[in-house]
Amino acid sequence: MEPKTITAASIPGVTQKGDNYELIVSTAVYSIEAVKKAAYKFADRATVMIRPETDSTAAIVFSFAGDHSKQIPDQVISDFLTELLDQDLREVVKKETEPLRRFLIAHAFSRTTLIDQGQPE
Amino acid sequence: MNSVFKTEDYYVPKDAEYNLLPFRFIRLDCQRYVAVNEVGEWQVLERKPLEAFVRKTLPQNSPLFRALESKHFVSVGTPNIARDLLALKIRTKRHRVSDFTGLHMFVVTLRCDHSCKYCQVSRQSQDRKAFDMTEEMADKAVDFTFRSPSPHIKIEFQGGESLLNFALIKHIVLQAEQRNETEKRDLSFVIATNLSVLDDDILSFCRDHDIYLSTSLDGPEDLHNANRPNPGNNSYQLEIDGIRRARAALGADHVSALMTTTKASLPRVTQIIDEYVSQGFNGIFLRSLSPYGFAIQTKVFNDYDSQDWHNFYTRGLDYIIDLNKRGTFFVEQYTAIILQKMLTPYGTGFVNLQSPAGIGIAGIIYNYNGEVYPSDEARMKAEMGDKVFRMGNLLTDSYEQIMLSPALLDPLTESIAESVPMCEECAFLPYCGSDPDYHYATQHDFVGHKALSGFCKKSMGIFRYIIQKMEDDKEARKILESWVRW
Repeated sequence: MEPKTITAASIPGVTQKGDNYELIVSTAVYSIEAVKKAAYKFADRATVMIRPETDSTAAIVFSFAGDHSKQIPDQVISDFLTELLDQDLREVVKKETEPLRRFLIAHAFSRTTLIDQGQPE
Repeated sequence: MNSVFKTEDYYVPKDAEYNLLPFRFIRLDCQRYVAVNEVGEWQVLERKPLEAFVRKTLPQNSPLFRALESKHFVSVGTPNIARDLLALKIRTKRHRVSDFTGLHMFVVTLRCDHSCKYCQVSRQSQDRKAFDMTEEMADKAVDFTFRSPSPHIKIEFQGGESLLNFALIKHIVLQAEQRNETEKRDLSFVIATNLSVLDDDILSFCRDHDIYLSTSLDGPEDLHNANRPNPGNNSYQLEIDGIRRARAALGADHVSALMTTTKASLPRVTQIIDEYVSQGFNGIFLRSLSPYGFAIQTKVFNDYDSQDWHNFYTRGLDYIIDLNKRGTFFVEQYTAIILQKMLTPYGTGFVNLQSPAGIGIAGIIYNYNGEVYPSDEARMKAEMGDKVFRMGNLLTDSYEQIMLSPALLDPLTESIAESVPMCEECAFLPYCGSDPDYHYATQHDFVGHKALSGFCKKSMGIFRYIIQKMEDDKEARKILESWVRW
């Protein structure tokens, strides 16, 4: 097996603990939902664990063992932070447009035969 | 003297707040993002203006804002107009869902004279007639086909080598045509064949009944013969002779070819395209291996990964665009399907890029033994022993029992991309599909983890590349636009 590429974590807020890297984020800035979505998306690059730290912070722990041993931790964590920003912005769009999205789909199909013709109970 | 005319800015409402319409965004490359709305209209922009747009600080008289407004990312003033127009576009885009099953595939035999290592079909040797569909079964399949409400019915004959049971193909065509005298559907026929047993009687029947032929051509002679060996024969020569004879009898537009990419194909994409050009085709469908049938058993599916495929596809697309720039009209057909989703208000019938998935409701397959599956891939999986997608049997089950089978409804409902993690927020969702049989084959789950999905990696790479091409190369954009059928 090739040696794992480990560099010193140079990103503020990131600390290296053994083979793991820990990133502390403010839950006042990023919602836990946004953190979870970003973590899910990075499943091919790292094993990500989320842990409540204080009332207003969460710890995100990155492990690069096994299948992820060839990843460059600094790069992954840097990309993860960009993804967090994107998730935050997506939440703004979703919050404003979600009701309209549901309405649009219902409106679009309102004249087709695909809708339930039954009366509401 | 003051002019009575004012500048454009004068007429822009100064404090009117705008309302976002639903859209998603994703990184296009290290500099840019692409935002895509509910019907696939897209806009490339950098992070800063994207943030400004979402936070409602983008000037309404800026060119970017106007572009976003014209593409239905935002409504200003009377929101109902934008909302109604967008709803109309959604309905147009998805009208095929209510059409229901249009593609009906009949596996008339599993017998085959070729022994392709990557074959996605589980073939049987030529002489085992136990693997032929019977007339009784075929009649039930025709009945089943016409239960679909679709105004367009395409019957596709598959195998094995379908022409080894040509007598049954004739029977089915005549039965379907007779049935259609009262049904009045838009009925068409395609035979998927390697053309090796093509003869004048077959061609004559195909001409009389307006039947299309779809064959396989993997590239230059040595590559084709290595990929598609026909013991004791020159598979390539049979193929080329068959194409020539079929064109002479049916017309060039009635003969199409498909290729499959093996590991041996990877360094040869330009030669493969040249082969198609020299054989008189005006397009090619660059197609990767699928994780089904013998491709899994012989492990050839694992011969290359999604990055290898991406490199093959992008080199091929670049080469094809150059061909067009030099005056040869030639289309990459998978790209053309995606472009139709990107550039027109219409959807496509391409089964693998649908949400809800196209399985069962866009296409369905009747196996030689009467078993019904929602896709060819699902049927291949069954031939390898896993019948998770088996919907029922024509001999024992009704239309309702088969079409309402959990084997169809479970993968369909579980995999709707709009409610799947990662897909629901993916900007490319309007171009993509859920492909539950791929994800079941690779992850034993109808949904699959998209971060680990080869389908997702391949598709997203292609969507990004096409948009980058159109953004960065004006001449390429014109060429790509010319591939779209309206």
